This record gives sequence, C-alpha cells and structure tokens, in this order.
Amino acid sequence: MTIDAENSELFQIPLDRIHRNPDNPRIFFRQKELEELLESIREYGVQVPISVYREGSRFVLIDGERRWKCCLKLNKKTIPALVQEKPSPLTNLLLMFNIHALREQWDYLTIALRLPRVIKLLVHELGRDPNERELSNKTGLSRGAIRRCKLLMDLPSQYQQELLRELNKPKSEQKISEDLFIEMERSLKTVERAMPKVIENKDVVRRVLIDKYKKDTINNIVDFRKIAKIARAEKVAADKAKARQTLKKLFQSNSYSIVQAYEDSVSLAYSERDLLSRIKALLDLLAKLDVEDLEDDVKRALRSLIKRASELLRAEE
Amino acid sequence: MSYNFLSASLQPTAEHAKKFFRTKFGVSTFRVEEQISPDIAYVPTLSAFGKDHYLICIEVSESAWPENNQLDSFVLDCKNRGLPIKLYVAMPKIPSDSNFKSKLQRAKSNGVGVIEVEAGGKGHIFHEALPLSLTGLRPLTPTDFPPKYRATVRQAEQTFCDGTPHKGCGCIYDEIENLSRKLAKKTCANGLWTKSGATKVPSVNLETGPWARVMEELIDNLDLRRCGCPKLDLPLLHRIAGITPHRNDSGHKPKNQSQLKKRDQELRTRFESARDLLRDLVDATKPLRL
Repeated sequence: MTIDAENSELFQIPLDRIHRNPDNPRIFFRQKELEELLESIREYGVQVPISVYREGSRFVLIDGERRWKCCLKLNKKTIPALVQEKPSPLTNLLLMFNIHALREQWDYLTIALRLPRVIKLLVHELGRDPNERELSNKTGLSRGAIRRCKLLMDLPSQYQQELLRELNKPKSEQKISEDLFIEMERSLKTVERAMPKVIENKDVVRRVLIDKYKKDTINNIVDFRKIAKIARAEKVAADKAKARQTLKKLFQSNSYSIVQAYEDSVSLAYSERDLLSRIKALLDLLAKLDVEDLEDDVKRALRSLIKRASELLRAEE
Repeated sequence: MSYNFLSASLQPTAEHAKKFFRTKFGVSTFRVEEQISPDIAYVPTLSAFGKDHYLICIEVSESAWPENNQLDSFVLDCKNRGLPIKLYVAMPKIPSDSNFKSKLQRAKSNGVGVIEVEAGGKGHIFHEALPLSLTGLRPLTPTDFPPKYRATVRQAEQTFCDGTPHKGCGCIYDEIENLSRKLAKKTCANGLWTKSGATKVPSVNLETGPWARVMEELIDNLDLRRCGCPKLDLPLLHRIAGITPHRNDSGHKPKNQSQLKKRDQELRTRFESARDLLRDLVDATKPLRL
C-alpha cells in the first residue's frame, strides 16, 4: 500500500462535502451501536479525526463513517479529518479491510461480498490468483477468517440475500446467522468428499437443514459438525452403508434431528474410539510410573479399574 | 430519499411513518435527516410542516423512547428556544419491551407523542404530541388555589398545552373577569365606593358592561382601606385592568410559522402571568367571600 498516513494533514472539513466510500465493505450499521457512539460524541466530541481523500471539491471517507454519520445527526457543521492522497482502487479496498477488519468484529458476509473484487484486483497486480497467505497478508484478515468468508462467498445468491436480510435486523432478533451457514457448508463439503452420492441436490439439502434449524429440530449450530462425523463413518470402522442411509434420511423434510442421526449411526463407534485413545493414554502414563510414585487413592482407583475391566471381559467370554 | 444515520432495519418503519402522517395528518412533504434550526444540536429522522404551521418532527426508534439522552436534550433545546414543534417517536410493532410503560411515560411527560406504525399507513397513537413551544410552563402548585378553582386552572393548563393556547388563556381570563365583576358588585352594594358608605350608582352595568370600564370604575371608586382586604391594593387592580386588552386579541390565528412562534411565546408568558394574577386576586379577596 502506498498511502503515507504520516504525511496527511489535519483539517476541519464541512460535513456536507464528505461522501461515503463506495468500496467500504461495511454495509450494516446497527442502530444501538450508532446511538452509543452518538452519545459519546455529544458528550466528548470527535476525539479521533476521520480519514478522507480529496476528489475534486469533495472528500471521500477512508475511515470514520460512523463518526461522520453521528456528526450529521448532531447537526455539527465540521469534523476533524486527516486528508490523505487519493489511493489506487486496490489500495483503497485494502485500506478498508486493514483499518476496519482489524479493529472490530465485522460481519463475515460483508467481507465475503467484497473479497471477489480484492481477488480480481490482486490477480491484475500479481498476474495470477493470490493464495490464502497472500490474501491474509494484504487484507489483514487471519487465514481462518478468509476461509470462512470464502464459504459465504460461494453460497448461492438466494442464501446470501436471506442472510443479508437477517443481518439487517438487531442482533437479538436474528434467527439464522453466518455461523450457521459456515458450519453447514463445512459439513456438507465433508459429506460431498466422503460420501459423494449422498447429496443429489445441495440446494434442497441446504433448505431442509435451514428449515429444521428454524423449527428447532436442529437447536445448536455445533450439531452440524456431527454430520461430518457421520460422513466419515469409515474412519471409525462404523457401518458406512448405515451412515449413508442415515444422512439421506436426515436430508429429507421430516423431524429427524442431527443428534438422533448421530446416535443411530456412528455414536457408538466414536465412543469406542474415544475410549481406546483414553486407555492408550492411560497405559502410556502408567508405563512411566514406579510403584513408589503411587498414592493410596491412585492405587484404589487402579484396583477399581482392573475390577471393572475384568467384569466386562468375563461378561464377553 | 436516503438516510445517513437511520439503520437499514428501521428504514421501513420510517417509510410506514411517512404514509401514516400523510393519511392521518395530511402532511405531504417530508425532509429526511435535515436540521430544523442551525443552533439545535440534533437532527430528527423526518420533519414536515403541518396544516397548523407547527413543524412535525418524527424520530424513528426501536422503542418508545431511545436509550440515550438525545431526545431529552432535543426537547429541552426546543422548549428553551420556544420552537413551535410537535415531536413524535415512531416505532415498529414489536413483540414486547419490558420497559415499554416507563418509556411511554417518559415520552408523555416530555410532551412527545408515541406512534406504532405498520405497513400500509396503519398505526396506533399511544398519545399525541404537544407543541414544545407551549410545554414547559412553570409548574402549577395546586395548593396555591382554593379547591373550587383547582380543576378549572388544571383544565386551562391542559387546554393551553394541547395546542389551543388562546383558549387556555381565555379560561383563566374568564375566572379573573368573573371574580373582578363580583368584587365590583359586592363592594359597590356594600357602600365601599363612597366615603359616607352610601350606595353609589355605577356608570356602567357591572354584570354586562365592558370589563375594562368596570375595572376603571373599581379603581376610581373603591375605598381600599375600608373593604377589609389587606392584600387588595391598587397595583393588583391595575394588573387586572392591564390584561383586559388581551382578552379579545388572543384568538387570532397565526398565518405562518414565525407568527406562530411569536404567538406561542407571548401566550406562554400571558398564561403564566394570568394564572399568577388569578391566584393573587383569589387570595386578596378571600375576606369578602365572593
């Protein structure tokens, strides 16, 4: 980026000569947050100048859109602003990301909707597709955040619009969230990889799962991780055919929940794997101990363990 | 029209509010987030002139009274400057708000109307807005008046604040006029208009003659030392005579907003001083049991 913030100049600029930056990925300004800032500015004034660049006789915002909005509401005539050089389109976009995304929690969808333009401009600059690390370095976003955004970026437009409408509501009234889509998309990708023919129409499956979530048949977005576990049944030596059938049933319009599907298919296999790994860890630990190291209560616990294990093994014989 | 401050989630509410005010109040042209006065440090979401020249301001909010103190200071600024404004809070139909009643009460005590609006210009008015130029009267102390006057004075104040200030003033003037005519009649009949105690025939009908003439007669003839009312003095009688010219000019309708502002400011002062005058007259004539 070529902006030299240290050489920018501080001015009091008339509010009506300032315009919002069309490249600002931020599209949601929640009323409650704006009102809190409004109260602070009313009480203490604008303590940190906004940043703008000059474009003819007007100024375009780089940083400080909420402060500018609040000053308009408070009928202020001017606002302190640092005037910088006009950036290139790519620098302008990257500035937005670096200024805002690092400072506060943005909605991922707002970033996801701008990311294709960043990628396009970077392709133009680099002559090839930027990789994840380059995108992360340029935008200031973590690689995890970029992966999440890409999941949302790849969503069909109808779901992006549905999510946009939802994000427009106050937080307390939002039913579906970005996290829901991120968890769902991740799990469906795993299903497509591990059991390619289970999902015939991904859009239908998405709609079924969202409806189930809205009706509370699925009541926790973390449950979506269990779908991926069912799809990976083979890894825990569970019945793959049964897992496939279970997923097909889950992806149909009914009251079958993810938790039930997990219980019916792979729950036992995952529990056994978990038990095995714990036993291995315990054996590793015991191998390192001398008998002098053992306290009485540990010895008592070990005897109980041997007794219970013997009972189980005898029962099997 | 674009909103700078109002969040996208509340913009449909603003549009419903516009439709509601068009249907209900016949308001046609709305300004969006524009200043109402250069020295008022707040910009309401919508504003429009009503048919009665009052500026209707509409603040769109998620609740009956926004959480911050913005509206309190806005209302106070308008009152202090005597601006002829009616302020409404327009809110969407929301399922429940545990603080709704207290917020509604807060709006009411500030003279701010509250409306719940829906699509299609439908809405429910919880209570009407009062002209901010008329609210903020010096508070009335009910015990300043004997019980028989309290309801009348309270009613006059209500009428004043409801947007018909001349009628509110008129109610107080009526009481002062009645009492001063009774004073004239009783003191004349009791021979307090002559040094000898003989009854004097007044040159004007004390019941139906012009009020100003009745006051002139009273000032000229009443022997204040003998009437047994120590608080009744010439300055008080002159104060009454001084309001008689306003008796008839208070009902003229303002033709524009600046006339409205001037009228409201004058009437507020007149109302407060007439109310004080009635209190003093009632108190001063108590010994005469009028």
